[in-house]
Formats: sequence, C-alpha cells, structure tokens
Amino acid sequence: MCKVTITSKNTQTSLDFTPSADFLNCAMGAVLAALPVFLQSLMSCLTGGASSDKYEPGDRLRCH
Amino acid sequence: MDLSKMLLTDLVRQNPSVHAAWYDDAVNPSTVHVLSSDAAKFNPLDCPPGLSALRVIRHYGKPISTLRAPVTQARAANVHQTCQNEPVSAGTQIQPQGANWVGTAGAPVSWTGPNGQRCWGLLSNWHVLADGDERVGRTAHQPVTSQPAIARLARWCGPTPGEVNDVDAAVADARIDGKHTISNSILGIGILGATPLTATVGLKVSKAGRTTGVTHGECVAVGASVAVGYGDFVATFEDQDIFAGDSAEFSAPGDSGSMIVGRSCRCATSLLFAGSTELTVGNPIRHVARIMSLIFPFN
Repeated sequence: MCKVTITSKNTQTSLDFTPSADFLNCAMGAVLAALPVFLQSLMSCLTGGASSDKYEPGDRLRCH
Repeated sequence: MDLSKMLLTDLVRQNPSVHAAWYDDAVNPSTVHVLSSDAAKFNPLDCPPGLSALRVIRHYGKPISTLRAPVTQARAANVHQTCQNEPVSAGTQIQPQGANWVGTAGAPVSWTGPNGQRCWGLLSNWHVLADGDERVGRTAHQPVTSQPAIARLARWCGPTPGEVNDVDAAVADARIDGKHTISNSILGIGILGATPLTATVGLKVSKAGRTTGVTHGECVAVGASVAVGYGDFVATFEDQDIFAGDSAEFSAPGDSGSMIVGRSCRCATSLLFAGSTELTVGNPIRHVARIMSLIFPFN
C-alpha cells in the first residue's frame, strides 16, 4: 500500500504527501499489475480480436 | 390483475372445445369471439358470469398446437432450410443439440446478460431451443446438428401447465470463438426496424419461417386467451396476438420461432409459436422483450 499523510492544524491546513519507504516498489507493483490488461488490449487491437461488449459478425465458411 | 382477461382465460380453461377467445375491443368490449372445433359442445350460457352480458360470436376452428417440425422433414426444400455461411441470417432452420425436431431462428436480438454485459444472439421459442434439455450452453445448429453450432442457449421461458402463461421464448448467444455467427437481418425480410411495434387488429404483417418461407398476413385479434397443445399437455396463454394469412396459410409446422413483423416498418411485433391450419398465434413482443431483457435496436 502507498501511504499519504495529511496533517491539519487549527486555522492552517497543510498537506504533507510523504512517500512511504517502499514507494518505488509500490509504483512498480502497480505498473506490473496493469501490464496484462494493457498487453491484452494491445494484442486485441493488433490482431483484430473481438472485444467483450461489441457486436462483431463472423465471416467463416461453415457449410460443407 | 386484468379482470376482463381473466374471464377470457377462464372461458378457455373451463371449456376443452374452446381453443381461443378474444374481445372485439379490449377497452370497451361488446362482443366476445370464441374459436371452437365443436360448437355443439360449447354453449354461450357456459360463459363465466362476467361475460354473459356480451354478445358471443362463435367461430369454427381446429385445435391450436406448437409449430415445430419432426426432423424427418428436415430435408432442404427451400432457401430457409439450407445451410448459411456466416453471418447467418435469421428466418432459417435450426436444430438444437439432441433434438428430433427443427424450428426457426426467428430474429437477431440483443439482451442484457446476467453480469450486466450486452449479448447478441437469436430469438426463438422455448419449445424449439430448450425443450427436453433446459441447459445454459446447449448448442443450436443451422440447419441441422451435423453442421457446426451457431449459438448456445442462454435464457428461456417456457409454459407451465395449469398456470396462465405469457410467452414461449428463448434466446441463444451467437458468440462463438470470439465472433458472432449471426447477421443483423432476417432472410427475405431484411434488417428489423429500430423499435418494436405492438400489434393492432388489421395490422399488415410478414414473417420468414423455415417451412413456408416469407408469407404475408394480417392481425385478426389481440389480447386473446389461447389453449395450445404441446403434445404431452395443453398450456393456456393470455394476452396473445392472432394472425391469418392473406391468401395461403401464414405458417406451418417448422415455422415456430419466426418473428412476425409489421410489413411497412419491418418492426418486431410478435413471436410466432403456435397455430392451426387457419390461424397463427404469437407472443406480443412487449412480453418477450420484458421477460428476455431484450435491447432495441439490435446494434
């Protein structure tokens, strides 16, 4: 988990975004987690694969 | 609960010789029409008390039954019975996995799936796609099971004997290996109009079915209560549309599942599921759309 610290004083509010010690690990984890989705979308675009929520009529010759 | 519809339904259920009944005017009825194959067995005095003040007109008509065809009649005799390459048009013959009958893939439809996703597939009847093996994923083949599947059973609503029924309908998902096997049109009719159309008496209609192909007719009654033979049992349906052909018969066994459309706009009007040599009965599309969660237009 990435940590964000918010400090509040009486009339003055200051926001103190303090990256946690393992911030880089956290960021890298997020990138790696998103990678499969990105690659899947990229492959779908490259191969013309069907998306899950779109009507795409087939063109197979199915009669023999 | 609509009392006037209940009276019609009671009339049909209590008189085995009465196959259908409907009013001349659904809002202010003055006449009730009764379709019977044996007029001698039906006495207007047998009408439920609420109907006794109305004039009764008796029509001679044969019993009404579902319109699927035995597989022995599955040889291709017209273009609606032949194998179609993708994308497959509706209005053509289908046979579900393990069935000894054929019917018609009535119309391309879209609906909301169980997880909120949008699905595309074909609409037909419960007694065509599901009867005997009601199972999500049961395949439907075009024109017969020796050819590859074009859709998988997704949702259905069949009749319950002893209860009053609305529809005999089923949808099958046409997404196979990432693409949809079906086209957005009906063979011989074309692309459906964007919105459905409620039938009214006198409406000119057409349909494309596996046995009789494209035929034309007219709506002769709406809001009818009908007794339909399913072989093993008789089911009562309420609020149904009734059609008659212009010159020849409007439908025949094998046409079950066809979409009856308004002729001028090609708008989905009624799901053909039963008939006799004289009349054809359809589930109003508003009931089918509500129960099957259909989305219009198709795409």
